[in-house]
Amino acid sequence: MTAKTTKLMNKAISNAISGLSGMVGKEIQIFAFDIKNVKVRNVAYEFGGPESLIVGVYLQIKGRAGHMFVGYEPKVAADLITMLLGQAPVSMLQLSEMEQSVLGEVGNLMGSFFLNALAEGAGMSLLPSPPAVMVDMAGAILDVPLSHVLEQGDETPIIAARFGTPDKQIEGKFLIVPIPAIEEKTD
Amino acid sequence: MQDDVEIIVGMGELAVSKQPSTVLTCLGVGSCVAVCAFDPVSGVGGMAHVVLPCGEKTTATAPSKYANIAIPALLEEITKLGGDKSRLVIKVVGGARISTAPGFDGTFKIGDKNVEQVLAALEKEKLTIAAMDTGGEKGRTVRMYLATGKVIVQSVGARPKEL
Repeated sequence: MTAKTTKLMNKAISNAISGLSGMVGKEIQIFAFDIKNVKVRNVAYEFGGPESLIVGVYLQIKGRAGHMFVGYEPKVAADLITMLLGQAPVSMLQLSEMEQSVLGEVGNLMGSFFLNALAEGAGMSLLPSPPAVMVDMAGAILDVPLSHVLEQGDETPIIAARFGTPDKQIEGKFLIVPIPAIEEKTD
Repeated sequence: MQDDVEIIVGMGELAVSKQPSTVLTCLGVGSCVAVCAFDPVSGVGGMAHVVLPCGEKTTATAPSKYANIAIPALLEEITKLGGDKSRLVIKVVGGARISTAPGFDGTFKIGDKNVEQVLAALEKEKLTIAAMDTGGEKGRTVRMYLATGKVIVQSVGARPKEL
């Protein structure tokens, strides 16, 4: 991945976090950012392991055959729900419609802000679909985005970002497909 | 007694063995399909982790990504180790639709297509299926124990079950 693309991804994450900041009405900062290419075989381990329970928000990038996936540990997702609804979920395995909707909105908003920055930097249109919220084994919910990665190659960029307020930080991981089209535009 | 040796079969991969201590495992299978084949006489077993229904080109790291290529490749590797196609006990697991969210134009139906193509490829090889656990909305971990050929399937929040 080129330095230019990495810089653009960093900017896109910053934009996503500032979107989240506006949504929760608090100043949220990025404390750590890392982007790396990961082999398909190892991607689920970036999300805690193929059998780890995670909460994933999946968006399709319209007209580009692209995908965006944001994964959180259940505790992080529970914190987000508590922060936005004022009440903790009873069970992460059986989220209510409202709880799913809140997570979907967070994913939607962060996805839109992320894609807007990416689109601006790459000079291309990137519009997200409505979100799908999934709670299951990391391996299982990554199957769909990773099946598209395998159609083109055998590795994909993963972004890890730690963000929050000085006293409370959370980590989210982002998987975006495809990057080749974006790389071509930024080279 | 020898300790079990677990071989993780990643997306698009296949693995075969005739060591009784081997456990072939697909972890967290969602829309993908795990095809388990075991010859009870020779003790040879194999597992393919199918990702997509049909295609032409595979890669060295994902020889088993397409159903139409994975099944013949699995049979070939089993035969090389001394397994006999006519004796194979075949079990098929996976092909879940992990999300039913609207507006994805069939993206999440890929599991249904994977199962359909795996069954078609098995039929083409004139193989019958001993057991199946496919579809639904939950991911699964699949383990095949080559000491016995036993296949165990587990989903989040559920007890492991023998297939």
